[in-house]
Amino acid sequence: MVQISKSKCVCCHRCALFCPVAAIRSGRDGASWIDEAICVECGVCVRNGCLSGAIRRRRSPWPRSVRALFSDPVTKHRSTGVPGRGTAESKTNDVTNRIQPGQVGLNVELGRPGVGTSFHQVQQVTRRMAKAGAGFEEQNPLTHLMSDRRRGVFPRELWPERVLSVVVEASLPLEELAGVLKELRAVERKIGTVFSVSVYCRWADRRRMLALVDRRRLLPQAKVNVGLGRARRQR
Amino acid sequence: MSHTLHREGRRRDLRGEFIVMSMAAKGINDAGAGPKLRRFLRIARKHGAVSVSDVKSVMHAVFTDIGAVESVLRDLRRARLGLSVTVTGLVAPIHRACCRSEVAEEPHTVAHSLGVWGNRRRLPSETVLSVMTMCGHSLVSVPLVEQAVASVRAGVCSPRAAAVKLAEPCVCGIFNVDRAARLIARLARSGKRR
Repeated sequence: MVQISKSKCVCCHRCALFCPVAAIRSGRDGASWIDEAICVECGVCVRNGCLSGAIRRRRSPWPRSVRALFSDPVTKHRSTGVPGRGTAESKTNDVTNRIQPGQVGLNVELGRPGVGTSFHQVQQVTRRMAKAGAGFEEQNPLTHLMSDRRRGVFPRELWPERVLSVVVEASLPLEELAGVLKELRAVERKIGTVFSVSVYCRWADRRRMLALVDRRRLLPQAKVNVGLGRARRQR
Repeated sequence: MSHTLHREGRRRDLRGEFIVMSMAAKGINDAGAGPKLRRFLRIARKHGAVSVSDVKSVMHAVFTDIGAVESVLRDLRRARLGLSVTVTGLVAPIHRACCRSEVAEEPHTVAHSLGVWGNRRRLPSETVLSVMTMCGHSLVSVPLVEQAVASVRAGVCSPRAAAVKLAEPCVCGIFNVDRAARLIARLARSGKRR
């Protein structure tokens, strides 16, 4: 939980400028305060927002602890049983071979860019994806929080928790990609937040994968794993 | 997470932006990876990276020139570090750089962004979005970008100084100060707001 000390606040409101989710307000006395319902505990105000040392952070209890875990890139909380908040995805695929020829990886990052999301909204997406047959990535911390992975459901106590963004990771056969994207198109008309979507595959499957997506949505850039990684036997 | 992949921007702006990243795979080749990652950073600096960073043993280097990326890939191939290397940017130049540096005729894996879906009315203007998505963790706020633009417009600071300030919250150091300065100057000239 992040709080501002009234006795130390010099009312400059610098912290409000830095807050990515507009959770910092000004009181009648001029001092800043944090709306705890909106705060995602990303830590930006703690690191960059205050020159007078008025902002303090305490470890939040479960389930609020997920806010910092998914919102603050430097947090090392392990309440999910999986360190970090995502996996290496395509970045180490030349070593792990997680995505095999004929397969596609699908990442849906809810709340990004800069809007934030609740777990209730995350579940709106994961339920649709599960319905279309997407298998959620085992090593992703979000998957570990699901109470029913087959249906993409989270415990009710998590639903109101807000985070800056979370990554839903799934892998599926290439021929099933169109079905999952169709479900995402259906949910995007109803959801109150934004989500960034990416797909990845082996270079040799690239044309097949791109034939299955709406080209008008494609951003011009891509992330290319050049293939320099080598697996080594470790003790 | 694909935090370098979802950068918004026009094709002509993205022509001068390439992010090279290196990391080890946990439990497979991460033992003794420290010196190799440091070697990666030395190679990146040698070829003029505008920004380098190390977050949780994932190394990033930002380049503004594909020729430099090609040289980095050539040196990495010769160094035989065995770590995974990804390059984010326009696909065709990256593919050519892979071929010319003799890293591979065909890269291994490719990830494409399908952009932002959902309630897009909650997003700021295209140019503000181009600035804030340079921080892959979305830690650069819209008000901070707006204030930077206002400061430049008022003559309080230069676009570059404003861009350096904007880069402060970006903990993984992939915020491209050069490109941000150009975008801020454009916003300040146009007088556009959110």
